[in-house]
Amino acid sequence: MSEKTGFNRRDFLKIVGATTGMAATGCAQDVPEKLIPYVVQPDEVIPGVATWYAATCDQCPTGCGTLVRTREGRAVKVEGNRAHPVNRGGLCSLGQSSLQTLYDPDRVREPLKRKVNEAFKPVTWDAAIGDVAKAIKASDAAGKKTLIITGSVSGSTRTLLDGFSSKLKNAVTLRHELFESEALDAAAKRVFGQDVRPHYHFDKADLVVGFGADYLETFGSPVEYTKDFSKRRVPDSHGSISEVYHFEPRLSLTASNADTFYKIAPESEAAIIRTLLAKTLAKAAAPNGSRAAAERAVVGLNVTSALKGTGVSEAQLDVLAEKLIKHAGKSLIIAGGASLRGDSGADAAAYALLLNAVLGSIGNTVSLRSHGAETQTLTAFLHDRKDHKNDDVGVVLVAGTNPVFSLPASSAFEKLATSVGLLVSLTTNLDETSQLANVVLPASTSFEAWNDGESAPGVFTINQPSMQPLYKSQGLGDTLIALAANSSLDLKITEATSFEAFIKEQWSKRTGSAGFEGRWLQYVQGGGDWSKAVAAGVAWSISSTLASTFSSSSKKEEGDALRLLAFPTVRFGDGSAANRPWLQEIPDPMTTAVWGSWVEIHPKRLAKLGMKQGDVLQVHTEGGAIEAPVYESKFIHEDVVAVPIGLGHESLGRYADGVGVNPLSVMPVAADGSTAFMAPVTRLAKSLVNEELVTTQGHDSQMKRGIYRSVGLAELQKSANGHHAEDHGHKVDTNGADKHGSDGHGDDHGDGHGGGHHDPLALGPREEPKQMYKQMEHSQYKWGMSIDLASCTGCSACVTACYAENNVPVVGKEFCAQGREMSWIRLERYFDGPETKPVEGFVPMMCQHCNNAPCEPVCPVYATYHSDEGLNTMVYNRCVGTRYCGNNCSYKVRRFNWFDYSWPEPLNWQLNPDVTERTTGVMEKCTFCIQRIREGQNTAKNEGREVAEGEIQPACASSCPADAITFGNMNDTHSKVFADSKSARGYKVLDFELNTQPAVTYLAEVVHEGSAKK
Amino acid sequence: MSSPGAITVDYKTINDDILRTLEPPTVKWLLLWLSAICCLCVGAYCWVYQILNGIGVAGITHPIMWGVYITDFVFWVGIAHSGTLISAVLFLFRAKWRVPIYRIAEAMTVFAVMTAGLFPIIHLGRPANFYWLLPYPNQRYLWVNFKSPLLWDVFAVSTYLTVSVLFFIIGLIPDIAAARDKATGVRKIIYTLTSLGWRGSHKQWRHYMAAYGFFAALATPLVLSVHSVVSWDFAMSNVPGWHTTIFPPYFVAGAIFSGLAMVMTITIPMRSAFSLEKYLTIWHYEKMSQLIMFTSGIVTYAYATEFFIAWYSQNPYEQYQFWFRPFGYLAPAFWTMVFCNCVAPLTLWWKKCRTNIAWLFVLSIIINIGMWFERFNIIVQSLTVEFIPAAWGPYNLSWIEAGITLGSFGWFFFWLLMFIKLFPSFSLTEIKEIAEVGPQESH
Repeated sequence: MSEKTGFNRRDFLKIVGATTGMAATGCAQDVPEKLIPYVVQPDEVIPGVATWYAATCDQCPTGCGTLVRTREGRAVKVEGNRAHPVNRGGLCSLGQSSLQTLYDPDRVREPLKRKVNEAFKPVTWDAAIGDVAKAIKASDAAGKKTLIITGSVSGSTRTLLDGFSSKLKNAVTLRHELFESEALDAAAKRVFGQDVRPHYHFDKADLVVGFGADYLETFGSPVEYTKDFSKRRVPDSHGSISEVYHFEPRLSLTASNADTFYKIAPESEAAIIRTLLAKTLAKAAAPNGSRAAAERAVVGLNVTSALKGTGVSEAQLDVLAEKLIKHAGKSLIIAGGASLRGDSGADAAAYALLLNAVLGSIGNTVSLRSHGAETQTLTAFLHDRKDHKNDDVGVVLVAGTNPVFSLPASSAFEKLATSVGLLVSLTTNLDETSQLANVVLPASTSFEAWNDGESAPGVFTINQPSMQPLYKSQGLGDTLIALAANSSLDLKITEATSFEAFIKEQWSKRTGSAGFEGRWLQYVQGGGDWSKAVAAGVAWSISSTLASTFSSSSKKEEGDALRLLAFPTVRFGDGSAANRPWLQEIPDPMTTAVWGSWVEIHPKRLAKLGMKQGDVLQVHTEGGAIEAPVYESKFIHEDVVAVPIGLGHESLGRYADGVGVNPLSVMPVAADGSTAFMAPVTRLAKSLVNEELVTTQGHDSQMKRGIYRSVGLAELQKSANGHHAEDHGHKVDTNGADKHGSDGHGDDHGDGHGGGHHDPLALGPREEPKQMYKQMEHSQYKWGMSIDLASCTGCSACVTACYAENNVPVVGKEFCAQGREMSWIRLERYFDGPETKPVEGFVPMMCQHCNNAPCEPVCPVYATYHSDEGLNTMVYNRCVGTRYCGNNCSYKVRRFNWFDYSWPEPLNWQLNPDVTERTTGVMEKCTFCIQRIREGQNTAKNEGREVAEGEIQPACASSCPADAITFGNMNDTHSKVFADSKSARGYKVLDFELNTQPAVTYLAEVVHEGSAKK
Repeated sequence: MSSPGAITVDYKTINDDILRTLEPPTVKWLLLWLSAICCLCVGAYCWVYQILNGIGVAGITHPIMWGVYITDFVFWVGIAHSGTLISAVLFLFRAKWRVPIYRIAEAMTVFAVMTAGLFPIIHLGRPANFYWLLPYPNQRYLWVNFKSPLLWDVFAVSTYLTVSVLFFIIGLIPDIAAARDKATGVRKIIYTLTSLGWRGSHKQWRHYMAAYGFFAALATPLVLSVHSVVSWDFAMSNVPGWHTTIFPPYFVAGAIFSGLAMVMTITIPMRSAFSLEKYLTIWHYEKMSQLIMFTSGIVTYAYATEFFIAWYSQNPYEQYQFWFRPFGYLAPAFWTMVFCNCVAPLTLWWKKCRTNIAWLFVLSIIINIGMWFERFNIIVQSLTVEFIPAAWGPYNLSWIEAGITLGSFGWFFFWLLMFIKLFPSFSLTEIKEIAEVGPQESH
């Protein structure tokens, strides 16, 4: 002990130890998470290795084949199944985002039940099923109807449903699918006399003429159509591409992809198609007795008066009619979509089918698929019993559809739902319909339940569950089996005790029991059985009664009436997907709006109201009023205001409720009982509400900067012929992207590159400039990408894929308004074209992985650098957040984590374990899916070979429905990316000006010289 | 006979007058100091709030990833500029009019660099890792990127700070000794320590003058280098509106311009508060005004050159940028700059204005506002409209940025006011050197 201080060494050490310990523990991190190893290792689960399950998408009636990637028992990604004949690898945003319904934090987690005017209370499945069975029994015995309302179902569910309802005395199964157009089915029946539905083959069509049908968005089989459509937009071996016309009152995504877009007055489709029919009839083959019907159809047609006020002139139609005759049998007329769900829609659809028949397209570009006698639709059912008091209905079971949301307020459904004895809802979310229910049953998603179906004639698909149900949920099949087997009903439909067994039984019945077990495994592994797929449609003839259905007097619409158009979008479909944060945040391709609805209106109409962009507009119809921020658009007919479908939920979940408005609620019921998508506007007024419409695109014009480029077809052919004469760097005059700048422009930014005499907007490989510095070397791999703008439709599926694959956070409306959205890939849409092709095109923009990247030298800490595989890599751990790289990135594709973003449980279960989650204060950007590159390289290395062409696919490329994105090794001179980089259509954005040498080559869109001239 | 601006008082009066600034604080001083502390607290609160919530609480966003913080940084580095110019460059040129102002200008330099140095850290996404920008040996072999202008910045600013502080301290030694001789109590101890045993011997004076001259020579190139390097943060990038060779001289001229204005802003109130009209005469202010006129001319010429080059280059990106500045949505910021930096200083062509102290005070504040907006225009406007139109976007100025900017003024004036009360703000020795009276007693 020190005598002076009275403080000995031991005490000193104790205090030092204690303070150090306290300081250390005080700064320790939160309680560490426990990692619990498997006690018994499941056979199929290898930690760190993904398992892929073939499945079927259930997001729309199409039924595309999917592959579900699971990691450690959790589904983390959905992609298209390349082997599936319908979608062939592509998958739309809706399908990809279905994961966010699986992990929806607002899902119904257990059966709920309530008495009138009371809150829901959880019950067991047995109790809930028992109650429902008892109620059905009682109601059936009392002679009251049991309604089973589902979405469009096929396969074993259909069989089971039919079995179930046939065992009851008074059961009625009804279907309710928002975009399934009864009018089109009725028209097909009227024209062909059979229950057929037209299916379109864009790959065979040289000339596509669309009337309102949004076939690249929601109409029919959009992924399949996109794939076929895009294939024909790229010059084939003969150097030809298809030509596309589109007639619609507003510029939809589909319309923006047409070579010629005619903005027409609402309800004028019938008159236009009828005129075309009259103009082509004389020279067309008109097989199978279609001539007589067509002649009858055009009797009394006065072209001048018919076309008055439609927005197209007779001369324009003459040109089109000539082309139709020229391409007879190779043309395709497609009518449908929202703008046809008005009064004249039925006629327009019939004329369109007849025109196809007259031109000999049926059997070539249009095939007819028999859909047999489908169940009645809910709307038709309600329409037929307009005067009923509803006391004849005892029980209503709603499964997988939300009629309260998708039917107008004036529909009789809500009254029925509230007055019925027992309303049962089998649903994933407590949606608007479920809010009226007495019993709510938690539905399984397609990731948790078995299902099967028929995607196309002969294409039988299976959906196997890819993970255990998250909650106490069941699919419709299992629920029906449980109901039927319940002691109160005891319907004895099937011996099977589970839906899986039932499906197996059905498949065994259909495909034969010999060797079934082995085949079954193949079916499940492959996602179904399409060995007997039927390509051709059914034989057809024109119905003998068709002629008599056309009245000779053309109906004249009342003049200047303003209409509200509810239109579907590629993002939300029928609105059931609105609670997915990805879809809310991915910009609408046309307006780039996020997190909300808008009213599209013509500037002249807006000026008449004395309003401007940014105001909130109130639209009154007879069904009520809705209000949303104004989106001014020159590309909508003055007589229409349009509001997108899918938003405006009152009860779906935290991301959907109160976001946007639901235009369907103010729509009238059409003559056939279905929901019209067009309503007369009674009043437009400025709303006092203040709401901002958040759009992500900064500027609508590309200012002639050549970010998007196009080339005329003839021009391209000319240059292809002269290709061998010149070495490289030949000029192709660009169309739409005017030349600017004089000689020598670009020198002030160049790092001393030699040739300053080229047009910066020329296509084809750039002349190799003299470089002052040593260039990057890449020994084995140099990853590159090419994006074919001729194929790209702007559907934004790549954006969704990127969000899902790379754990890109969703930031919400407030931060989007501040420009803080995190998307690594951006769809740029430029309105620079002529009136008939306003959108020149879409440019998917992601990190260009420049060989000479401006972002790399400016980082003071080497957090971003050039890898020897040509990747511009980002080291999150090293980043201190100076954001200098972001400023110096000429493409503005670097996104900064301004905050810490997180997902509420269980949405975070979707996160890809292969990709780091980023924290606040670091920069991030597209990595070319480096995790996939590494995985592919590891596989190749294990097998002792180099990575093969096409083996590695980034998420965007893999999901692209149009196959617009190609990824590969630029060092491999046989690869497609290498060929594309040397293509006469190829160009690199800003490369000429900045010498950035991007790894992404864009291939200019090909346009018909005649159609896209300004 | 006395030359213009001559100081004609005896050494004792000089001692008394200058050292009067060190007397116990008045209520006015205390109020000023407290308000500086209040501003500082607002800034500190905002910074803590930003650290806790993420840098996104500031207005910087995509695509404008640098904003008010870097504007503040450049602004304060600019302010820091004229201190060394006045003390070192004008010393070497033997410009007499620098004498009464150089001390306060040096103090201003030191505190402004201290303020400026905070901003690169404040603006970092992960401020706790700021030291990663320093090349220090570490086990992970992580090194810094010497190609990055930001790293040059680190060296330029830290070198400038080091040299300015040393130069400042050396100049202070004889004056502290003078204060020491008068002081009592704690002050006596402080001054005794900080005067480093100064006795005023001839040998000490000889060494002192040599050291002072040496540091003046050392500091002079830094006057040019520091702001040139800061300008390279912009000029070395490829952003239209930044990528230009004119930036280094343009920035240096702008910095002298704003620094002189700041010297005026500070000395004019001090002059009247401490009755120093004898030392800071109208003549001195006229000299400063002339330099301001000159540098205002340079910046105006630089602005014009940018527009000329944008037109002459036929570079569409550059052209759009310079169309956007006067006519875009941030046009008010541009026209504020033009008014403050180009138009308002024109008044100095009239002697009446040059010699009107009240107008000079107002003008000095106008110029400082203008120079802040100059940097704001360069940074924010350029980033708003770059190459890809789809990615353009507006800036959302936030209260946090305003608070931190306010806090930076609080921080600056907190130190400056303390300095005024603790050390002689005007150089006793040099004033005595030029005083036009015969040698008397005392130092």
